Amino acid sequence: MYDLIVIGAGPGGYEAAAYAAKLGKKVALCEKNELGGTCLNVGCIPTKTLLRSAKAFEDCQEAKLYGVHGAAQASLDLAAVQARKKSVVDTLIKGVTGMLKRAGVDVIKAEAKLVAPGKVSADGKIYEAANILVATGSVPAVPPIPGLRDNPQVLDSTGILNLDTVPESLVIIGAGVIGLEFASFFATVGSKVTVVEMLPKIAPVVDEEIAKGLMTALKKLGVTFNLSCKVTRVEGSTLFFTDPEGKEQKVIGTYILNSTGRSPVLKGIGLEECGVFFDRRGMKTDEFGKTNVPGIWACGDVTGRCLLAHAATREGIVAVNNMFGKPDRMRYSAVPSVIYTHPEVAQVGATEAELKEKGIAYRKAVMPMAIAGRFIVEHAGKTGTVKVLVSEKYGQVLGVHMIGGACGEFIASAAAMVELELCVEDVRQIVFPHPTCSEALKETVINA
Amino acid sequence: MANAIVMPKAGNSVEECLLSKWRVKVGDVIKTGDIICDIETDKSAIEVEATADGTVLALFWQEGDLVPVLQNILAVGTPGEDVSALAPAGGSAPAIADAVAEAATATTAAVATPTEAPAAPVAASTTAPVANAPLSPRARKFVAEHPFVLPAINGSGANGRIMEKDVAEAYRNAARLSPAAAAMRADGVATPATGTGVSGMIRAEDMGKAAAAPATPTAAAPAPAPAAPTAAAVADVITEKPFPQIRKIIAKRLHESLSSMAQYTLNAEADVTGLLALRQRIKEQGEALKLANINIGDMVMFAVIKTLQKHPEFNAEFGDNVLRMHSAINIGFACDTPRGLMVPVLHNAQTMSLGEMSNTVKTLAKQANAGNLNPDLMQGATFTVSNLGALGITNFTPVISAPQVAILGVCKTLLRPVRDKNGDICYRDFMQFSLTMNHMVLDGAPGAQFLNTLRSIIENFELVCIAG
Ligand SMILES: Cc1cc2nc3c(=O)[nH]c(=O)nc-3n(C[C@H](O)[C@H](O)[C@H](O)COP(=O)(O)OP(=O)(O)OC[C@H]3O[C@@H](n4cnc5c(N)ncnc54)[C@H](O)[C@@H]3O)c2cc1C
Repeated sequence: MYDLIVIGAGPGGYEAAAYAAKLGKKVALCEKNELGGTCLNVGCIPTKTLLRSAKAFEDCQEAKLYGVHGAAQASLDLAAVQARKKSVVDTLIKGVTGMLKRAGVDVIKAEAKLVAPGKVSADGKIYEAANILVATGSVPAVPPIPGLRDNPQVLDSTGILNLDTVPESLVIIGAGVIGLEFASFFATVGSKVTVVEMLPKIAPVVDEEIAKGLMTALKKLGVTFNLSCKVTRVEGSTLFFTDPEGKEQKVIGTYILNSTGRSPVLKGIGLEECGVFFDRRGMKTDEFGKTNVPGIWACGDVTGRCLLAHAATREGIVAVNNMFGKPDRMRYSAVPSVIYTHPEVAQVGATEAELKEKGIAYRKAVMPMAIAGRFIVEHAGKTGTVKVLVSEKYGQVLGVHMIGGACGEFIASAAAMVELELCVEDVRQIVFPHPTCSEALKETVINA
Repeated sequence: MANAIVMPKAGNSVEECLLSKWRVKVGDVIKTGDIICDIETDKSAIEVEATADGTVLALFWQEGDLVPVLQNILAVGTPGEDVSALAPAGGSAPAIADAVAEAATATTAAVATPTEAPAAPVAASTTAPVANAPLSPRARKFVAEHPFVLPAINGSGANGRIMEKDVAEAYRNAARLSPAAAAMRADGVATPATGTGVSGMIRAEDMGKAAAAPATPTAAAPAPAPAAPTAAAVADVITEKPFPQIRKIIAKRLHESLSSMAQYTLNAEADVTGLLALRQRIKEQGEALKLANINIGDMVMFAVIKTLQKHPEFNAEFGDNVLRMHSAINIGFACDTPRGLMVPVLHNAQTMSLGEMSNTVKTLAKQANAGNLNPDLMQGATFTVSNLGALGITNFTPVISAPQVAILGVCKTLLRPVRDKNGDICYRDFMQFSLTMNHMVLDGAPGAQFLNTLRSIIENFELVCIAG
């Protein structure tokens, strides 16, 4: 009899399992694939490894701006990049394995299924537990577009991570975060990239001013955008779509990347049998991670709430705390998100559009990142922007939106401002190190 | 021989004072003129000086006590002397132990104070927490300086008094307020006891709502009814705000005023178009002519003084069926200060020129705001003026300060269309007045006459000034 059985060892599941075990609970963790889930194996980590290589390649091209000559002839060996990716992933999987072992979690390497509240079957055995945390994550969605399925020219985010040569051209369906990161990578390393997006804008969750800046930066890399365009069918490596005028257009790519979204893993895990509520978008949980069935909890992509690794982790910890009587609750208002394109986009809190929609009175400040000396030092010829939204009456920091350099590295300080509801005058009292790009963040807040 | 130092009589009508802070403790050596404690009347804060030399042998009252004037508050003499004969009836003896105990904890003295240690557990285990148990002054200060909601707690001091260490502990365990929520609390938005932020921090979103549902469901808890609207969403939130001493006294006085008189209010208005024009000229040329910066309020006050000279029955006190009319016109004027409502008094206002009066009013108001007004300058008013015009009030019911018989409320100036001599419509500025009187003394007709005189003086202000 376990205190907790976790199904799925992604960042939602494995962190929750380790945390519960550290609280002294008896915990089992079931995983049908590798430990680490989407994030570690085919998501965050591999994509960031690729993007790091693209950055090195870009640095070579730009080296002359910094007085370093002879680097521009550098070439990128995608097979070597993949080898590095594999070694990074392997290292991290080992890390997770060791961490779970030290915490005392029983890892069950098998597909698991709920058979009843308090009962899980895996590996032909029935395991019992007071609490079950479902963290089965998500898989690439396949929209009903003719020719998308079973077409060797069409790859999803997992498939494209296995390419050994840089394709001559790439057509990307969907300008969401995943599509844009791949666009940034392949355009940098030499592919002709075309993005086809149904909405009139890219990165719909990003503040509009910042999203525009990102589109400009990607266009400079040579990415072609077809916005407000609906994909109608795929034939081999040709993609057909209707343009905003309603005319049929086509674009050919060595490969076509389907990055239209993610589907929660809900089938075959016994939710129906146990009477757990879910819909197409995911399992239904409250702010404590509870489902409608006592003793069954859920976290991460399977809830469809916020498809980010760190959100999954936090939701898992919240659920564990509540299972064992420690007050805690999930808040989404200060979950930061980063797009690891070059330049990076980082944001936390409300976008300007959200504030307008909710009728919240606000003030805003928008400043170039170049007001921080370090930005000019590090990013010759580049631009960046910081946008800060604060409440009209109290100057409470409500949203921070940035593009430029590696701004994802300091969005955490903005997240603390939003989470702790600091006001402009509070931030004025916080000392930021000089010279760093983060000074642009402080400067913008105190000008809001 | 040991001597006693008494609570001074801080003004003629003062019967008791709040002992707000001791500046000395038992064992201190003091000499005449040293500050021994701070006291407050309903109107001011004063430092009390020692009137004898020696070692402090006993403090007879506790901080926060309301002490009758001329009562012994402290014994001074040679160590070892018996001071029991000096102890006043009604003095709160535990104060001595408390004060020492708290001083000891505050200065982290290594020696435990025997008086406190055994007392605390008894108090804690037998008494249920009381929402408004008395707070020691240091505890009160701590609460004022820390942004949190003080829950009902047990005091560890004598008689359940809540000490600084009690509130400090409560603070460590209580929900913090986010800076944004704290700003909202300062604006008067109701604060729930717990919130939904980091470690239960009270967030802006929680303000004005009921306390967040405790986030501690157990695994065995029954399934929540899906999507049932929670009653908590509309629950009433009660925020208790215990009255500080000064406010208690104000409340008592106001209630006594209304329960002892037949108060009623007449409203009238006066054309101040001319007054406003005069004010404009003073503003433009006053400096060159070395005039005081006389404002509309000063002019109205001056008109009131002239009016009172013509209606002596308004410049009076009433009691025991006798009306006492004063020849001196001492006008009290209400000031809203950071310490609450204060009423400085313009003594012998009938002797002052308009310029003098204007300067005196400004000086008194400034001192009242700073809290260093001599208490005697808040005594002896024979009539009171209260001005809410700047706050946009068009008429109200001022409450008389007993034993006076009337009070004039000065209200907002309104623009009104009137017919001029030729029957044409023109616009004029009219200031509004609300005169509350004690009907036991003053009937409607004299009240109307008073207001008519006031109007006539205001509307012919320059002539009245020339007449002197
Ligand atoms: C290309 C890409 C890039 C991304 N980049 C980022 C990024 O930079 N930052 C970020 O925050 N997020 C990123 N994400 C999203 C992130 O990967 C997910 O939000 C995160 O992995 C969700 O974690 P999870 O624990 O909910 O689920 P997952 O990571 O999907 O893990 C679920 C696990 O459950 C296992 N499982 C499923 N069913 C069963 C079963 N029946 N029995 C046993 N095991 C089962 C699966 O095998 C899987 O290992 C990216 C995603 C992709 C696809």
